[in-house]
Amino acid sequence: MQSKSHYQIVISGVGGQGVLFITRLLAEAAIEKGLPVFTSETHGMAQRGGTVISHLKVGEFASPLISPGQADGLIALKAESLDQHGGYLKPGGWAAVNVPAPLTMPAAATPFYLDADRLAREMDNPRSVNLIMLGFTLSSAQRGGFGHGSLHCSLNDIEAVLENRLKGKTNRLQSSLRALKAGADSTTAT
Amino acid sequence: MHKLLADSPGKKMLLLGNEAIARGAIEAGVAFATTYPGTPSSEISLNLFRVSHESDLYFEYSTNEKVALEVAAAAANSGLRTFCMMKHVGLNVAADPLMTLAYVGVKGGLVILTADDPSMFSSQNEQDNRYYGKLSGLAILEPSSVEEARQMTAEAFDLSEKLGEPVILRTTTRVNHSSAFVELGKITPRKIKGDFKKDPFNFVTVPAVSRRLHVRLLENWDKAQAMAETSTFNFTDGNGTWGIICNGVSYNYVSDAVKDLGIADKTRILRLGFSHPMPPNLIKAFLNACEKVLVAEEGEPVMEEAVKAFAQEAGLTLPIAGKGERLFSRLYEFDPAMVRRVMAGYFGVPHAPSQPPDLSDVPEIPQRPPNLCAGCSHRATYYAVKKAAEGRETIYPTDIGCYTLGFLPPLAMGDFLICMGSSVSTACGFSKATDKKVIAFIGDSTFFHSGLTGLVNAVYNNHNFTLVILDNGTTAMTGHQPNPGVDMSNLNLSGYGRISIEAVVRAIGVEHVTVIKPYKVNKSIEAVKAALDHKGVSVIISQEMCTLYARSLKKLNVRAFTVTDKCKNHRDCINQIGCPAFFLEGERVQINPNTCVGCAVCAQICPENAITPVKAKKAG
Repeated sequence: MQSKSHYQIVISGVGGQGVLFITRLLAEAAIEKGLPVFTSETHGMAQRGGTVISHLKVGEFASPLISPGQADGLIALKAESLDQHGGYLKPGGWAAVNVPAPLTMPAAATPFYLDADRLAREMDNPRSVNLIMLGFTLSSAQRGGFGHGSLHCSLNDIEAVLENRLKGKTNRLQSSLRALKAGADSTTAT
Repeated sequence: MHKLLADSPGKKMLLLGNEAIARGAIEAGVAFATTYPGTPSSEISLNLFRVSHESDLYFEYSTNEKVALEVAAAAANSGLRTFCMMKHVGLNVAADPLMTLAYVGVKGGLVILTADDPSMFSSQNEQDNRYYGKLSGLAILEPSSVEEARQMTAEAFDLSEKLGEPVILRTTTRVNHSSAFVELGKITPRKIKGDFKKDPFNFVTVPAVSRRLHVRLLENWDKAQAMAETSTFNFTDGNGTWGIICNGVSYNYVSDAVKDLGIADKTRILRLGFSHPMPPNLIKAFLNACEKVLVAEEGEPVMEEAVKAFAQEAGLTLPIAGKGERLFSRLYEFDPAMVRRVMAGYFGVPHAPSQPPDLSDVPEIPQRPPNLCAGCSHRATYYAVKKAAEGRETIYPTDIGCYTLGFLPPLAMGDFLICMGSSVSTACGFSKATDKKVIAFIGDSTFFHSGLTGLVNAVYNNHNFTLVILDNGTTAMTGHQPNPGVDMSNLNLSGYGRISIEAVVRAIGVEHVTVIKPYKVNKSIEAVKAALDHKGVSVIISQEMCTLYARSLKKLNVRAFTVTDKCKNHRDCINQIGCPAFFLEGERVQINPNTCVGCAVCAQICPENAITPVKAKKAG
């Protein structure tokens, strides 16, 4: 059940972390639900270890970009994204942040912290930070942490998208689903 | 099957703007495609390259954009539907054929895509290529969205055939690199064999012929203008008296702003998608219905100036504005908040911008600029050159590719860059104009693109500098496209030639040519020293495959290194080469085993020999 029809989410990190991949998963989940969706991405030069940001807009929008102060949420695959891209958040917006220890957060935003780097290392899959953070974001939303109906899709929806995308690639699918679940099973650090 | 070949009209797919453009070309029955890769256009050609392996589409990566357009011009004049793609600055390289091809025209539809890059996400300038429409006299189409990009690309081929002229399809990064739902259209069958009918008095542009062809071009321009008057790509939204004229991605920002400001009943939007030649009657009628008009266009005031001229012709004195203080800037790309603010200000609508949260408490973190990858062979080459040149006063002209990033500290190897190939030719100038040692850097793909002619100039005019050709076996920055020096068998492709950079350089007459393996640090330093001592033109060819490319080909044997207890914190590794696999844990230097690829350059420069391979995990 959805309480609204517009979602604006910023996903940011560093080239190579898989920002575009999880953006794609969220977009495909929107399509599966018949919702209009836009993404706007960083390609090219910035991907050589530079900052990568993507804008995901679900609902009836015309513009591909999110305005400062209007994003419902931010998925930050690097803690520094909060400083760089936190300005996109609307008052009370949520931020799922990959960071070893909680940061000082502006009172107006609702933070969720997870040390996804550590989790990924423990799972011996250092390239899975993106999916761990996505799982963490989805489960935090489902637990009601972001406010009711705050994401356009659920953990199950993303699992279905992954199963569809990685059909026939059993190993990759299994390790992706494991990473997603590891994130989903984690709760925010305080 | 490649997803863009799906023959299922009506099917909806989530596509990147560039995929939608490739799909539009396929739907139009494109038979022939040429390009030189460049962000933000690269994924269009990458997709068509892949499609060509599964279909009878002819595709080639040409050596540069001028070559790409000339190859395309011949195909189109043999009656084939042809697509030629490039980034905005690529059209500068192709400007010579463009200007006269407009005189000659085409038989089969030719669409020339220019991907402009407002804000310069991946470019050296943000020139507005709509001026090329004016300069050449060719029609321009500009999509506002991903879906429209597909549709316009397909229709651009029809338009080109109706006019007998190439059509320019102009996109901006925000359309190229957005993804959205696209409804697939029908695929027109490809006609893959053409024929060229001799007609020298229309095809050979000697002055007497061109004088006549210019007349025809102007007639075609009039024809195009008449088509723009009725094109469905030019439409109005709303019946108000506050006029807004916009194009491309600006249209979306304007539409959202009208909604957000609640002024839909007051506004009238004219969206120009067939934006050159501008339709005078349509615009004059629009102006007549408005009391004031704002022109919302990224880049230069191309439409604004034309609209003001039309108003003058029609004797209209309503206020028309676009660029200026408290209005739109000629700098950078637009964003929704900025467009909303300008519109609110211009039309006098109360407007409270949404307040972003106060982030003053969040600790400030340094910027993270793009960097050479861990184990990048360019870093090793730069280190060798820097060491070899110690004690000399140097100038380092550099060029366009991943290796440009070597200009950042701690390497700081890059002093001058203007365009593709400029490293070689500016080295000619610097070495004559100064007494400093000039060492230029160029990548393999860029060398073929436009370094060759500079090197010929250097040998002919007897210049004195060292050129370092960074040969990593691929066109890395834009996504590992092949180039004339690449071993195509690595991609399981046959039927290609392969040009040896060393043989070409020797054939040009360079006397001092050395091939180095940059991961062998001391040997490389010695080889570069010898090259620097040579009077005249010397060339170092530094050969080592791009690590990302090697990884994708499964040719990368990773053996990570680690910092042992022998480390005495000299920190030469961090301070001199700055590989991103390094990090500090407290005061100790560490290597991230997940990013280290084992190039061993750091191990060779460590004064304590403290960096060694990670011991293999014991079984069990």
